[in-house]
Amino acid sequence: MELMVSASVGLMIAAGVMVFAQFAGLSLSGITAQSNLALEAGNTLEFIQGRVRLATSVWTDVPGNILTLGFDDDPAVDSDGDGIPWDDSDHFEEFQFVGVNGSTNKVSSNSLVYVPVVGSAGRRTLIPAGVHNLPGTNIFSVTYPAKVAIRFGVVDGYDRAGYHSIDVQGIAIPLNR
Amino acid sequence: MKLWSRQARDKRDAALRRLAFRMPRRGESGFSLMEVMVAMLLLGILLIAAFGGLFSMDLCSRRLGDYTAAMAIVEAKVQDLRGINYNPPNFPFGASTVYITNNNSISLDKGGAIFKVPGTVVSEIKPVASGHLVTVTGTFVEPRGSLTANLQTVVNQFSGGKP
Repeated sequence: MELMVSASVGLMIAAGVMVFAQFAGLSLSGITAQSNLALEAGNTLEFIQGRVRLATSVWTDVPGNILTLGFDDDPAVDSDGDGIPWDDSDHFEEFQFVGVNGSTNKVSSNSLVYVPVVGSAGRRTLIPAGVHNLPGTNIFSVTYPAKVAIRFGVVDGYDRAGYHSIDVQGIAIPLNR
Repeated sequence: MKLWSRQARDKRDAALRRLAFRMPRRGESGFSLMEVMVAMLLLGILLIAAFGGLFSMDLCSRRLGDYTAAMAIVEAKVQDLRGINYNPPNFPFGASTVYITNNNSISLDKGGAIFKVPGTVVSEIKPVASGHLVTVTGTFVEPRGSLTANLQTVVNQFSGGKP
């Protein structure tokens, strides 16, 4: 009898520990994912804002998926011959949203990449997965007088750890335009 | 022969004593119901504390996400104001303090259609000796208390805002 009671109590404790361990694992996974999303989205927004501030020209494509920035490589040389040597666009950089447009969370394959020199093969993935539009807005939009709005959300694709996401909305002004 | 038989008996007694230690006889030792209940109560308290800690960490990580989103909106407003042509005393860089209030929301829901946390962004633009001091405060009302993000900058003719 004592053996059966002690075995039952032992089994209950073991089951409790297993349930707790599973819950703790999922919970910690979700916490890490949320922290990582905040880091990724915040750093990416700051990086885009930093590049836009130094750009001499900015524009987007019609769906707002590609933000193209022009930069003056040598402020002493007037490449475009307009009399102002520091506002040329000698090389171009791009921020590209790669994936399916739409305000939805079903976006595990959507990513955000940075092309340091347009036309070259080099590119850097800023956010590898889960990028999506915010409702009713493009990811990149440029309004007069050259104000760049950047709006996007990122979703963690691992559903079992709970739904984790972030949305950021930023503005950047090109100061060399 | 006698010596051998005594040694064997001692060995047998020692084995019985060890067995007796592993399997106590009824009424002599073991855990009482009260002891088991106290132990389970302590274990329960420990588990509740551990679950509470995990929930708290989860909430903190979600709050970090909301704080990042709120800070991005406040920073966006600062950049927006820095981008305006600085031509005082024309609006918004007036001779007296100007307040601008905007409504914003953060924390998109799982369906990707509705923002769950509403808020307001108040920009105070105050004339100072070196230009205008801009203070942007975003307050977002979360279910577990409001969240505030705040940024400050000075805007003047060198800030970058051009016609």
